[in-house]
Amino acid sequence: MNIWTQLELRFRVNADRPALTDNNGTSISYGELLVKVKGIAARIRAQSAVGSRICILHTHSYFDALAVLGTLAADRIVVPMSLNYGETNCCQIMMRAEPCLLLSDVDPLPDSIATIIKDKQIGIMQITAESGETWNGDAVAVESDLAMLMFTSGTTGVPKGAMLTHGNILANLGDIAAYFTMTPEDHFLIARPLYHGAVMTGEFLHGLMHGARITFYNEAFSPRRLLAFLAEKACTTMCATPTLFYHLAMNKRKVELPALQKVVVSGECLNPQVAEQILTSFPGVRFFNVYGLTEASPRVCHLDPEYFLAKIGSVGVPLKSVRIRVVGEDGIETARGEIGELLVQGPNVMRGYWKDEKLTAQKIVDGWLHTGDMCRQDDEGFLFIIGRKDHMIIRAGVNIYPQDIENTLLKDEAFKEVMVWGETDANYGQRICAAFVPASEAAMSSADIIGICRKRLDAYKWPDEVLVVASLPRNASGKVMRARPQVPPPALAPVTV
Amino acid sequence: MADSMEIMGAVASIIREKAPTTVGLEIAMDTLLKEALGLDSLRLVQIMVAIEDQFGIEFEVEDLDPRAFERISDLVVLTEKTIGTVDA
Repeated sequence: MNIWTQLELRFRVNADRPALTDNNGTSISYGELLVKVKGIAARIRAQSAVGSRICILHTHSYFDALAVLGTLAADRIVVPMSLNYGETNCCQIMMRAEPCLLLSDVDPLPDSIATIIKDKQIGIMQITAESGETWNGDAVAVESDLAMLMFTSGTTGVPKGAMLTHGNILANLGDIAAYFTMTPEDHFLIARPLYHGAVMTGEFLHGLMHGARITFYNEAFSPRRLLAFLAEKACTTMCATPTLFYHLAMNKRKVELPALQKVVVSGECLNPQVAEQILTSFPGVRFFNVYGLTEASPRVCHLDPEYFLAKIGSVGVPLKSVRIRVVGEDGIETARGEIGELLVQGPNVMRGYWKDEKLTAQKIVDGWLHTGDMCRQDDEGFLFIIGRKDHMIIRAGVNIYPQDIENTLLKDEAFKEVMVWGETDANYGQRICAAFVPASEAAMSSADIIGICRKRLDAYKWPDEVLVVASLPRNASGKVMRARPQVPPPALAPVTV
Repeated sequence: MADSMEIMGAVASIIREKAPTTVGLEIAMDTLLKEALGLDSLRLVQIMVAIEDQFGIEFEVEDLDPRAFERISDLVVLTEKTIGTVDA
């Protein structure tokens, strides 16, 4: 089983149909795409050995798409990166994955990445619209069953590389197709980077497998612009976080989207008020709510449109070939309705974390993937995600670990203690809150703290709210309770966003 | 009609209100929105909507390309231009 051989068959069937819209807005057909991909694959194979990891980092998702397909066609291992997660994240991924090539058009590359490339003697290959790829006609032998290393954030701040095989991803694609139909008549708008498993599998590869036309929205988010773009391009399908769709729903001016038929929301817990708002604002659109995690390639559950309102906030039922269990702290299955951790088993579950057997053994126990997500199932088996076992914050669809922020900030001698937690926020889904105990008795202002955060943290980890407190709240056994301190000192009022 | 300085003052107040974590940071015409003030695209959306509400205007879609908003002055100039359109 190989993703590219499956895709190539579909590309040939749909050769005359529009495939991708390039960075200039011009559409290329599946036939043209096939030629481009083969050309890129030939160049990648000439510069890499079997089993090589190929890092991918572009300014426009169209080039990421070509690079991903070229790497798959070359039977090398795809390692997507995104500058949205900061330079540090890219550097950590490159250090972990040890690629032999970086496919990138970022010019100039940030110094930290350029240094790694030089030190590790990593090759750089550019894929541009003008590079005139040609197909050399070589058939590609299938040599590796590992398709992708998808990196995801971790509690320690070092990203973990989920090893996804061709079999993992193809199994997930098959299950997704069973409930989420795409056809060559569909026009898929992809508004998030391929760095996310949900986008890579659930949007990009799923769309290509079924001959849909794919257009990338590459701008920073602006609801009015995105709505105008959706209307102008007559897109039929889109996936987004609930937060993003809530902002679209709240846009002042009503924008008619007669072509839009299907929307999939994922990446955050869906608040019932948000669900009602988006249903009201986009009548006639079929909304799905889905759940997954990178380690499961990623899709695990789906809530179909007919249940979107009836089971509001639920992520639905497991995919056809996925089995789930909800277990308590003792590892025993909970009764229906009771909260426990969600465990997942199926052909979509990753092989493990790249070069991290210890972490793999913690995550996959007796063949069950421990998601870290706390949930409950109702009487009919519909699943509701309640929160995270490890307090992970999901802000605007981005996973952020409080422990990571705390460990980084505690390196600053200004702080004695730091505690970070997430709170529900209409604009971001969740926002980052942080309480600080200063190391000295000298007065410390919110501005001082924010200045340190800016210096030490990547931008997407900056707290939305900071509190200065005399001590952190603790339970009877002295353990820090990760929640808003009840009574902040009156003289040091919180800064609220 | 509001002049640049008035608009600048209003924009600064809105930023302080919508993004209190800009406390202690200078907000001047040439201040960078992302690099200096840490405003992400969602925060910028809230600020733009608040500016519209305050001045009773609505920015045109073609004027909202996020790449065009680098500095405070970009917000002020667009606000001034849009007020001018309304007043005209």
